[in-house]
Amino acid sequence: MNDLNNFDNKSSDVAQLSRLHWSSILFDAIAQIRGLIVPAVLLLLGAARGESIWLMIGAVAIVPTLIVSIIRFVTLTFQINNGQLVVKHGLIFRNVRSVPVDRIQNIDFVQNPLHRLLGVAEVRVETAAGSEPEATLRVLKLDQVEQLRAAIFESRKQPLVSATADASDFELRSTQTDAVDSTDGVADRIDERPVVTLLTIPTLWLFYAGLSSNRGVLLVGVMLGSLYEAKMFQRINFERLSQLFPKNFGILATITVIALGIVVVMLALRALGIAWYLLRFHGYCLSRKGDDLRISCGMFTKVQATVPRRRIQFISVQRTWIMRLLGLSSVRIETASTGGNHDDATKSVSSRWFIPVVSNEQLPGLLSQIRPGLVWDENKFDYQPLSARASKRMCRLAYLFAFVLSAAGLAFWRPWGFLFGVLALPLLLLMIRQSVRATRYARTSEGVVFRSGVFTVKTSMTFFEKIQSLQLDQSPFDRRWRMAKLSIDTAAAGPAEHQIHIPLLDEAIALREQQTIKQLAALHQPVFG
Amino acid sequence: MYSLDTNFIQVEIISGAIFTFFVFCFSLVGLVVLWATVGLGLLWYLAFGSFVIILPLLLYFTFAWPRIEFKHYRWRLDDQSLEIHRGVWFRHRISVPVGRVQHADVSQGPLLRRFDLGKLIIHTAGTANAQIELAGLSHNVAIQLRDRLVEQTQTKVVT
Repeated sequence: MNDLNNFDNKSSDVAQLSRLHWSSILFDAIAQIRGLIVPAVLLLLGAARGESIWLMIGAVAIVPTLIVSIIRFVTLTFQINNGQLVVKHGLIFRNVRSVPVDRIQNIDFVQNPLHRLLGVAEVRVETAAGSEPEATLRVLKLDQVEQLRAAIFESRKQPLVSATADASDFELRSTQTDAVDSTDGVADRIDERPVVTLLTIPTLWLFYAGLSSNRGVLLVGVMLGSLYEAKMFQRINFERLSQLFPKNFGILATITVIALGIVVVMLALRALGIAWYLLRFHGYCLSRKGDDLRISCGMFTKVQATVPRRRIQFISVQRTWIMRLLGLSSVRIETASTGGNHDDATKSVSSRWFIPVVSNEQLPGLLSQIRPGLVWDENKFDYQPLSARASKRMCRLAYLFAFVLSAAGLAFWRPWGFLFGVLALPLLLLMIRQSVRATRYARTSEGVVFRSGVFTVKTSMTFFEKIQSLQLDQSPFDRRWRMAKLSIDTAAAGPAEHQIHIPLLDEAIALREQQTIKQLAALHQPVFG
Repeated sequence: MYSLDTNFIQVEIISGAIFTFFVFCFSLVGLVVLWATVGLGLLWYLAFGSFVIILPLLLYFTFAWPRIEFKHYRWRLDDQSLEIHRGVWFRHRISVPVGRVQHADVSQGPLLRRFDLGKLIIHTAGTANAQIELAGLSHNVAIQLRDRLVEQTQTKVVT
């Protein structure tokens, strides 16, 4: 933790040619064979059963990987020269990549337990361009990381922070009460901007966050998926398993056992979610230095990510039903560089779980730090509902669906099959009513707010200068009902898992909103920095 | 709002006709091969039946559809945004506010070149609409439009 947060630099041998740490060979090889982990395990299993042929296959397979890694380690050099980060590598094909230091947006790094044992970290340098990190340096010694970081921030000519943001610094320090461990006095030697701690999360809250998330289900899903791919299920002898159950079980006992089983599984899933949150976000700290937001967290694998504040395109406040009971929220953001679909550690922390959990009272203050001057008063936004006929339209669909369900049921189970549709109908109608009522949007002075969701309520906001395009869609059914769907497109939309698609609007209103938002977007021009 | 160039209809008809011609030939060959190998069984009649159903549809989409599509295709550029309306059954209205165009290309295939048309491709920093196409402008208009869009972005952007 401390080794990651230690920002002060000693030397800044800027133009010096640097190399990776020797353990790069190891980590590079691991990264290359990561995708083959399941076959590797099977290979080892085969080897353990004394089929030494498998071991030989494994050895043969690993040699080219190692050679590639060694070549990479030997040939890769990087240096900062004339305001450019220059990374060269390759034996036969020489690759030279130069990244203007001014353009570097993020320097993220990850340290897993093995990294920490060796005192190294994996560094990713990102620019505004594109989906992939501009340069991945796998791996550097920690003091090298610091040197690189210092050199990059030194070469950046001017801090990109405005006067207003500095003023809000001051305000924050005088008003914030919950901020722990504020590093006020320690001015950084790289530049004058102080590091302000915005949020640390008590372990209890992480516990709640894990409890309320369905992360466990996802984890088990991923696990089952890879087991399936490895054809593990075919090795299970289901007949022998079924013999384990007692033969003469009454119906009541069976039901009890099944119910108990379900409860146990649910609890286990929640426990898994809790464990995941506790590990991933252990020691979570969100701080701000000038215009850069920094997150560091993790128990075994430590992650530090940097998010430049002006690049935040989209802020999404999400609450599962348990979180709402406890008065907690989570915040996800989207930045322009969140492209790519990698579910790697820094990306998921810096976008998907930007703030895994925060109390509702702290939320507005925190958001006004994340976007200077943002007024987040959820209950006072001027929310507009969907069309008054939206429920009616969707309910008709529900009737149709229930009818089809009844007919299908009747075909299979006479005469009681029709009950399927009859029983499903009220549930469907209730769901539709609730979800139509929950969906709404608002325009504020800064942007567009969209809220939806019955169980997990998501309230998201994008800003006029971040809007890239607007689209109004009408299906033939929409036209019949004189309705339309309005979508707002922003850069790198997706990671927050909430996009602004406002369905079932009255046609006239949708057209008017599109015009108005378009005009406001034209007035608020994007600033590239 | 402006329409596309009327040549767009011809280009669509020609490219559609080429496609239809190939489908027609392949179907005929398929039917003959089926007849030669399996004979005039149920399978052949099914194949022939679907051919009879699909052919008029193909002809409709080749010769009538471009005109309908043309009628619903509109665009406009003013000092606030570029607007594109398109779609016959599913209608779409896209607006790109000024200053959001990252870059724009005009491309021209052999067919488009013959009819002096150009396809304008607009790139924004967005996700779903990262690339917006406006096909079937006359080449001159496409180039003018591209230049204006890029110019707008350059003058509007604060650096």
